[in-house]
Amino acid sequence: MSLDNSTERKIYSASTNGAPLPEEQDTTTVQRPGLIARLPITGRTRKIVEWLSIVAAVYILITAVGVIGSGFGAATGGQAENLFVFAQNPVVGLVIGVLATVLTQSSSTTTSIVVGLVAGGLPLETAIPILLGANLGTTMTSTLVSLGAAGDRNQFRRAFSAASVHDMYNILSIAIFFPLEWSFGILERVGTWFAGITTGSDGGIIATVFTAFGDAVSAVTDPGADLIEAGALAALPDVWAGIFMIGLGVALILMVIKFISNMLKVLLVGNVEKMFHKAIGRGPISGIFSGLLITVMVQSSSTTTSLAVPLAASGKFSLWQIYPFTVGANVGTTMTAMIAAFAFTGGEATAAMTAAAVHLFYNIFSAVTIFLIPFLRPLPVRGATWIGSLGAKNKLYVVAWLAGLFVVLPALMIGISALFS
Amino acid sequence: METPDSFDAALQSLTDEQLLDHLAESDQPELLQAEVRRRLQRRADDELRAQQHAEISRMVEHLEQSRVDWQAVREFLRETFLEFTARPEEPDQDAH
Repeated sequence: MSLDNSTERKIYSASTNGAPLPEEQDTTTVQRPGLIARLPITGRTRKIVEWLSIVAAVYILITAVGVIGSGFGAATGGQAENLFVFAQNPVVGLVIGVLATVLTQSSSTTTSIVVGLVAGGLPLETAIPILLGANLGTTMTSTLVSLGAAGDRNQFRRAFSAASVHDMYNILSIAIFFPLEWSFGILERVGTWFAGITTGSDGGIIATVFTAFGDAVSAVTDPGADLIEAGALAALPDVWAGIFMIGLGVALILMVIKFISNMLKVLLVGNVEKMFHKAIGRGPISGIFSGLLITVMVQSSSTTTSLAVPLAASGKFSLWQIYPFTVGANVGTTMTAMIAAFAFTGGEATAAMTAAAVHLFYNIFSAVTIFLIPFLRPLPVRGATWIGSLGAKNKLYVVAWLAGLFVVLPALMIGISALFS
Repeated sequence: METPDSFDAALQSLTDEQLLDHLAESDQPELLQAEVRRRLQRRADDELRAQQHAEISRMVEHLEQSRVDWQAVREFLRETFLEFTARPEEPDQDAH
């Protein structure tokens, strides 16, 4: 028997003996969005232009959310509550949130749109289930990414399990918080409280800072939104102008969120890598914070959770290491809706911030509840292991899981709730 | 008399070769075997951690892999459909 081993020399020392981290990754190999890739510039100039393009995209995002808010107000004529009576059934709202996010493949897009709609008059109690559903809908992306590993049974089992741990976690958090919200309105109360202290006139220093920042952002973005509104209202009757503005706002949000996410991946890949290196071997709390920060950096939980899929497929990372990372991604993705809430001022800002805060606190409460209650904590991993094994045995289980989760279950839930309402 | 702590420290200060020599000569090898197991476990953990860091160093590649490959999705669905609709093989008539 020999114990000779040179392994320790290979260990990167971020988490061991303090030696330097690997050199920052060369970012030139990450695929740039087409428009930016075609620009005939290089080096520092390219980097400056790329960061400026992100600033411009955030400007368009905030403007677009403002346009949706104005458009919704114009389209519904202040009668949103009556027009959206079909979505007053919380189950229908939840399903709308799931399906809208499956279609856009971005929970940030869905939540930003909802923030705009709430500012435009959509009742908060109608919006909350949509925000909860967005969390589940976004899990579809990582599951689709895992199908790319189907060529190798073992790799696929690990990849599909890693994607499913996000599904299972979100199913569990909805199972806990959806009935609680329906019965007691906990998230609505906490969201209203948070919006009160951040945008209310009596909120002290926090409200002063948030309001000043919001006013500054609105002063920059309002002219663009006003111009679109004035143009639409001049060319079309109120209702059609409103519908046009909502459509335009949604299209802009879809484009810019995809652009921002892709561009940030190019610019921050080195930082993402460093954060991963630092998180290894530091336990679940570090994993949650890494997932959170990486998601804030790339502005997309789908990117973060999908990134976990090839890492898990490699067999070097266990589901227990992937799990906290996806939980952090859920919390990190709420940042986009918070940014979107700065599109508004006054009462609209309070409504928008309430919706954004509901999404934030739902994800914080889910993480705390599921991670702190010992019998809940292992459930997503157990569920993901089970579905991963089934999927590796027979691909039909994978299709059944996807169809069941995103088609059959929503339809059943609507049917059952319609029977009892 | 050596305390348990000082004995542990003495064990840990041994090189691998010294440890194996002691193990061969010892009448009560349990503690030495435990030290061997501890060293093996630590090295296995370190090995895994090194592999994880190496995997993370391929971040650009993983970011590319984290996009939805619609062709792979279509192929997956096609294969699943074919598996689902495939008939079980006919029994060999000549065998009877």
